[in-house]
Amino acid sequence: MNKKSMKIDINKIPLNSSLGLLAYGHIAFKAWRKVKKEYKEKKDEKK
Amino acid sequence: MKKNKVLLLGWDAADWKIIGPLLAKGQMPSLKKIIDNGVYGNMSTMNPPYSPMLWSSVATGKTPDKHGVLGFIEVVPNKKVLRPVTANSRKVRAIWNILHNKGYKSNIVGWWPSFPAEPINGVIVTDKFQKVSADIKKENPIQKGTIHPESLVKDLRDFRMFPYEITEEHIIPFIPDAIKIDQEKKNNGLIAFSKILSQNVSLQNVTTYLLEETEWDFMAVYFDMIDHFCHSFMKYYPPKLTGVTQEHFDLYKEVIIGAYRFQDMMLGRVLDLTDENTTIMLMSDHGFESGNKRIITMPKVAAAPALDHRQFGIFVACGPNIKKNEKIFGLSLIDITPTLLHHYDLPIGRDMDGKVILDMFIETKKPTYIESWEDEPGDFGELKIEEDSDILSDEETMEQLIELGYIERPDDKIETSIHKTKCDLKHNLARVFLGKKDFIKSKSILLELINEKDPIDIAPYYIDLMTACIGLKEYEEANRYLIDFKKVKTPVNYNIYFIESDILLGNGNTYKALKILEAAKDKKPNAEIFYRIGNILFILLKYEEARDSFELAIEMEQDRAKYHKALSDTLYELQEYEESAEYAFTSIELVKYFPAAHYALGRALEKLGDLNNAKIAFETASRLTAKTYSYKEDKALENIEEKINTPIELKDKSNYKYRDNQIIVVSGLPRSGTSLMMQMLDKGGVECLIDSKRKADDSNPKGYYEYEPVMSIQKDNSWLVKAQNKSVKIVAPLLNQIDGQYRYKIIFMTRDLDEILKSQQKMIGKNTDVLPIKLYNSFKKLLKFIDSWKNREPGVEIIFLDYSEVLENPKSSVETIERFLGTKLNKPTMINCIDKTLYRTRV
Repeated sequence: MNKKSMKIDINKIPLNSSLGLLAYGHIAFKAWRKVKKEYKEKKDEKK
Repeated sequence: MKKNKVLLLGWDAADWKIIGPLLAKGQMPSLKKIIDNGVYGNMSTMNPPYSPMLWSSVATGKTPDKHGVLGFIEVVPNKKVLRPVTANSRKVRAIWNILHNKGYKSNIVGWWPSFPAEPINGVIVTDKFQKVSADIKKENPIQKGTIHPESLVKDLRDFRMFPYEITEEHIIPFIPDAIKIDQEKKNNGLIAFSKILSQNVSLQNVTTYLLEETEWDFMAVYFDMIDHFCHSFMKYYPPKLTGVTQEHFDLYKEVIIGAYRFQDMMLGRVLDLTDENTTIMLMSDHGFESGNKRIITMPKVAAAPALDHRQFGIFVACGPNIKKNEKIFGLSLIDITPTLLHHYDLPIGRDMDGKVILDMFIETKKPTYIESWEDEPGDFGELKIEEDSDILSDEETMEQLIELGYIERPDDKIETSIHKTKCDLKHNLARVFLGKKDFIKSKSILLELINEKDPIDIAPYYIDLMTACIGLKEYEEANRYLIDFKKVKTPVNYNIYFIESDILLGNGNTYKALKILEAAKDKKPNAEIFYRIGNILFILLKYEEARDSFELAIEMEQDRAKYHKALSDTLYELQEYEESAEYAFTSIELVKYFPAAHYALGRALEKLGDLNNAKIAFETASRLTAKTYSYKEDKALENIEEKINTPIELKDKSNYKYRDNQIIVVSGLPRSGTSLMMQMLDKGGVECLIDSKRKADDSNPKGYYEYEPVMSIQKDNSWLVKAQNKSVKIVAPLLNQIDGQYRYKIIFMTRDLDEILKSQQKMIGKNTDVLPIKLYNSFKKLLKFIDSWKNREPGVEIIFLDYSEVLENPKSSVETIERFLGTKLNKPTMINCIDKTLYRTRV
């Protein structure tokens, strides 16, 4: 078993996330939160 | 990069019964990877199977009476407050304290209980970190003491997931028709689901962070997801139980499978973040009922949800020095800490209850020991003083325990809640002692508890008190408590047929005991009833029927070691030695520290002629049995060593040699010539243990040669010490009361049964023409019992001498006796004392 670090392409993270994403741990989780935040900000801007 | 690292993963309640089919379908690929590259086996739990107690035993290698965590909640010292158990509740050092002292770095995540964090070399993210508020829309702050070092709080705080963040995408794999759930309804399934899932994602986030960002030697992570999902949703797992609505079954039937698969997905990521030098151990503290023993409505007893816990959890491990794809046996969760210490080349505390799991290592070394880690001076990264109780109060954890049903919501009157909690903790301690078979300590606690008054339900205390008395063979006392118990008002309907049958059995009412169990079986059969029926049939020497009953028990529950061992004993009596050995072996596979099963294996192997392996089995049995009680095992071992060292083939275990301090027992049915044999031995030069209280009479003109304490040997057999190197008369019905610590040479007198009965009838002045059939049958049974009993007693050597043969051929009889006793006798005097005129009743 090798230590496999992960790079996240934030553009590929779905807004609603997925179980697979949750299983991937902190990096994916932080990235998802960022996606949600950006989405919310954009939505608020439109308002 | 550090070498020799260990990652210990705890999956509370994970069970092979669910995992097996998922592995077969390829639905837990990460776990399979560990199994394929390592070892796997059952992990035996302890009683009572309450998770904070169990995980504290995992972390300390000690039973709860020693580590001090005795339940889910506790009373704050000197305050009228209840709180979940904390790291302060643990009175002994955990593995991470010992590793700290030795300069190792540990990361501990979510361990139950670990709050407040201990100041160890490394990181502790306590079990408080992931807990969410009762209000799922609220984000609770991170309390002081949640994380060590405090400096990490800023890095980790954003890794907590909250229930309101759970999306449809997260829910659908578990509950495909979640849309049908009425979310307006209070306590709908989605609330519990969201809390459990988000909390475990928080733990996963911390785990991957620490794996990637920190250097460590030991890391332990505890996940409660499987356990908590099982408590909330196992009742909906297929097959559908009667009592579960079709609507709920359809909605939630996939949650359990989803939980296991998601846990495996998280494991996959964890494995990706570990290197090939890391040893990975993954375990659960108990299993979870998933079949027809699932409980839909919990009874109102303390920590009722734990009734769903099964005896066996899981264990898998892989790593550089771990065997590949091998099953290992007989693991107990108290073995983890000794095994970890051994892995790090550290000594094991002799006060630890567990053992090193040596079987899993490729290269083994001899474990080293110290008296106790508790006495070692130095810095162990422990909490200095008990922190302020307000800091330790933990609403989130309390709320979760209430929701899971482990604890009741505290009464309005806090005094009542505190008193109930104190009683529960004492009861748990009594149950720990019961589990350790320390019946005396258990009984003394329970005797205090049965004096409690309303609103404390004392019924469960009575149940355990009776069990302790039965363990102590105090059947009369147990019966008195049974009478008292029946008068106790309790909301719970207890099944007491096992206790009733045990008491009857202990008092010798074998058939009544059997009747009670038969009735229980007809009402609602279960594996334990069949097992107990089998035990009684075994006592009644009905071996074929006993075998059938044990087979039925095993058919219903395959993983109970005692069922396999009982069947092994029965097959031995039926002279089916190969099968007997197989079942003994299966029993050992399930529970390694089961001396009686090793002993059963040894006996069967001895009969099969495999003396060397029989020797190993007896050695193991002797080693696993406390020295005070290992007479049987030790004697079996001596016998097998004699057999191995003696070139000639021996008949049974008798080699006719004199044994130091042997006790010569003359036995047989009354009127079978036992007094004559005692007299012969006396004349032959063997000192007799007699008190001459019973005087000679017409029936026995030359005296009875008896010793009065023999009559009450059931109550007290301590006088046997005086019988060493002497002869003593013990009639056949009392033979099985002898003390296993001595070596016995038994001369068993046989005589035609008709003659015996007639002689007895004559002696008590009854009609000798009428044969008492009942007595006849009872004597036949007794002789059959003796025949089987002698084989089970390794300290017993026996010869059967026929009364008429002794009279007709005294010379050869006396020679046989001399050879058997291995001591020189005055044979002519022995022969001369035989008076044939006393052979008056002949058939």
